[in-house]
Amino acid sequence: MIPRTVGGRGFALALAVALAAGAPAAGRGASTQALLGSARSAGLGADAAAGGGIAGLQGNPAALASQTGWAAAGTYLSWLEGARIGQLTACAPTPAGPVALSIGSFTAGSVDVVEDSGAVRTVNAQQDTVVTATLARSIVPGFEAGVAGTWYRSVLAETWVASAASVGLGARFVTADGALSLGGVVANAVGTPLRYAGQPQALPRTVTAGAAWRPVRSRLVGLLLAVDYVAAPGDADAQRLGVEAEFVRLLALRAGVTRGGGVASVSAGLGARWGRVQFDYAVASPSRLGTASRATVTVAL
Amino acid sequence: MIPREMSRLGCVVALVVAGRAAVAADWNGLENQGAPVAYLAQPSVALLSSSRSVVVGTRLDGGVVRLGGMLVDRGVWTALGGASVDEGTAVAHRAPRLAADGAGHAALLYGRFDGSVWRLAARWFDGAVFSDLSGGAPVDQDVGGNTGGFAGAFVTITKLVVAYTKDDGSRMALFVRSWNGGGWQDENAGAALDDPAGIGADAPAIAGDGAGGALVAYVQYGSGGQRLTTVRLDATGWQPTGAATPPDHLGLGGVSSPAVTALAGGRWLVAYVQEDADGASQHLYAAVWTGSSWAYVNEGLPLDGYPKGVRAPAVASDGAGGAILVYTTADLVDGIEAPTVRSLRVTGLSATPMNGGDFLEAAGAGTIPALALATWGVGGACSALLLMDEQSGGIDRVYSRAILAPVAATPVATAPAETGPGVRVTHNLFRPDRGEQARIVYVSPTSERLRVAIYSLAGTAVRLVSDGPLAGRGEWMWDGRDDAGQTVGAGVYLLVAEAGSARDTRKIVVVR
Repeated sequence: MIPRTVGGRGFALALAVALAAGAPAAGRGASTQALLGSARSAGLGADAAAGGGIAGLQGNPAALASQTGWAAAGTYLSWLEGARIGQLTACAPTPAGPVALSIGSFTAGSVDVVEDSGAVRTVNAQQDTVVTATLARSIVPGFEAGVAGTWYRSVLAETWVASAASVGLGARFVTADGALSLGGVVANAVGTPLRYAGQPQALPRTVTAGAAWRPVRSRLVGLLLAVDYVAAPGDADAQRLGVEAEFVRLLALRAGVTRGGGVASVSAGLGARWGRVQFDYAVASPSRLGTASRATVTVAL
Repeated sequence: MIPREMSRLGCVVALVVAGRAAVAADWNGLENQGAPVAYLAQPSVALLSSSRSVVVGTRLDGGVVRLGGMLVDRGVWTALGGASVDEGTAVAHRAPRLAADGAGHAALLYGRFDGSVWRLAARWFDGAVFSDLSGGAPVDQDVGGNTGGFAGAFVTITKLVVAYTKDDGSRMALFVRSWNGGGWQDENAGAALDDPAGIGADAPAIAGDGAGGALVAYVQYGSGGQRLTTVRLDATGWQPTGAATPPDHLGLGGVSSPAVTALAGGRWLVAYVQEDADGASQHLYAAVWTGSSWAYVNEGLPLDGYPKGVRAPAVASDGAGGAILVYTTADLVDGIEAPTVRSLRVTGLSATPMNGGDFLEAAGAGTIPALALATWGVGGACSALLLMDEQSGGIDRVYSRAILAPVAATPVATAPAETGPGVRVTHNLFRPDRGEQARIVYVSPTSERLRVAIYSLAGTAVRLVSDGPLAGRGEWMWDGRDDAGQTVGAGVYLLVAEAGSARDTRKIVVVR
């Protein structure tokens, strides 16, 4: 058993490494995958190690291992400039461990395409469908692993169509007292590239390492601190820091900050639980470009 | 958009606070305490903001017709140097025409005699001085001995469209060219636009809607007489509005002096003078293009209400979905027939007299050969400047009246914002692997700090385009590379322009 104080030291070490390692770099366009996730994950910002069951599997497939029983979740995201995402996820227990199936639909809104002649035509900028199947299980006490297979279809400007498939991996280690958890995720570890117009483009192989520490875990108040470090080839390294305060296990308040690529984003959220129903809401200001709202309803069946 | 494609940062921004939109107040008294504000002929005016205007007209300079200009700032008239207006070398002919871009600038069109041929020339006014537009290249190198008339309008914040007639060797025909920051381009593939082609075309008027649309109204000479004809620019190109043009005026005494302006909701207003078959009287008519057909204002009845002598109508949007219409008429003043200036407010399909039905100006023993009207109307607030060219004893004097943006007892709308920078992207769907680039055009009437950057849709900073004070007009090209020189992945990107607390965002689609 790892003493609780070791959990605090471990989290402090992870935090220092994450913040020191962040070298802002030029950014590259993120795929729809970067926008998926529950309102809890979005409000907290850092979710590689923070768990969350069905609500956390987008951040780390291994998080699904902590889900017990049947559950379903629906998320709606109103993003920048008319972009929207709807996502439905259902999970079920199996002898091999919890299995989840998620279907997400993304639209980037419309775009007025302006030709050099000045002629304007309005088209849907981008419409994507993402289907993900996730399997997770506890390998040994305190160690969870998950694998997620994703099929991705994208249409640009109602003209160019591309599809791809990939496999992502996740692992999470939780100390026996639950005070400290460490997580690692490799998204798109292997997969096929997207090809819209001849030039194949690999889905970004994003590597995320995170730590979560629960210094206070009383019946009345619970406190969670989480930190992630995200690296992707050709993309900006990013650091994410989040905090969650839970009250009588019914109400949670969250805040997060992400920095990378020379810009910072902040997020905030809340969660409320009533019986088998959990409601989460998050608002974020990605790079100060505007505000984005996300809501998730999770039902334990 | 700026309208759809004009900048939300730019001059078209108006913040409606609450309640119904305010309507334009009535005309105030003659400016300059009733003395002439300028000694120019054939004046044209463009509003640069709610309180600044530029005026250009012709003047005699040692027996040569030259251009003269005035800058009007909050009612104070200041002469612009003659050389700054027309390069100091040109001999002007025809009435010069100004077109405001809605962001504090204006383009000037004028006929220029260069030794042997007439050219249709253009200049750029940046809010302070005139300079070359398109490197000094004329709109048309040779308008075939002369031009029957020309007019220009910005159809977007960056695209100027010029309609003009020229002798193509066999007849006077209508042509349209455009300028979008580079050289002059043929519209309609360079073909004449008067359709069906008649004996000739003359006196074009043009207006833009700020969203890429335009309407040209012109007089078509055919075997059956004259008729007012219109042709419309939309996303698919130039479209004749066909038989919907007022058909019952074909073959009557004559049609002249069309004026056109854009109304809200894709509607257009055309005003024109129709002469009776016997030539004894001239009346004012107006029609509204409703999106699918023309409908007469006031059910096709003459708008003037006086027996004869209507000339020189001018129209401009009032910022509340309607328009202001001014015209001259031979009126009875104190029992004596005298040229007078009157104005109407067009709302929906009805026109009602402004100024309590009274005339705005009477020329007495002189004449009023030309009127010029320009407005700055947004969100229900409206500023307008009316110029009246009064000719007496061979001297042109310009008088003006203005409508200032109304201030209601309880604010229902703020005044239009002063001019601010705007940005627009053309070719915003491109394939960098083929060497294609997006073109980013900015206009900045002040030297305000303008930060332009490109982000991924997820909010990641991709490319810093510019960050610093910019004044005037310019452009950048984006080749699809990020700050590290790597070509970005396919997808949707956001071009974000920030000036002060204002922000404008455009989408760019990269295809690979």
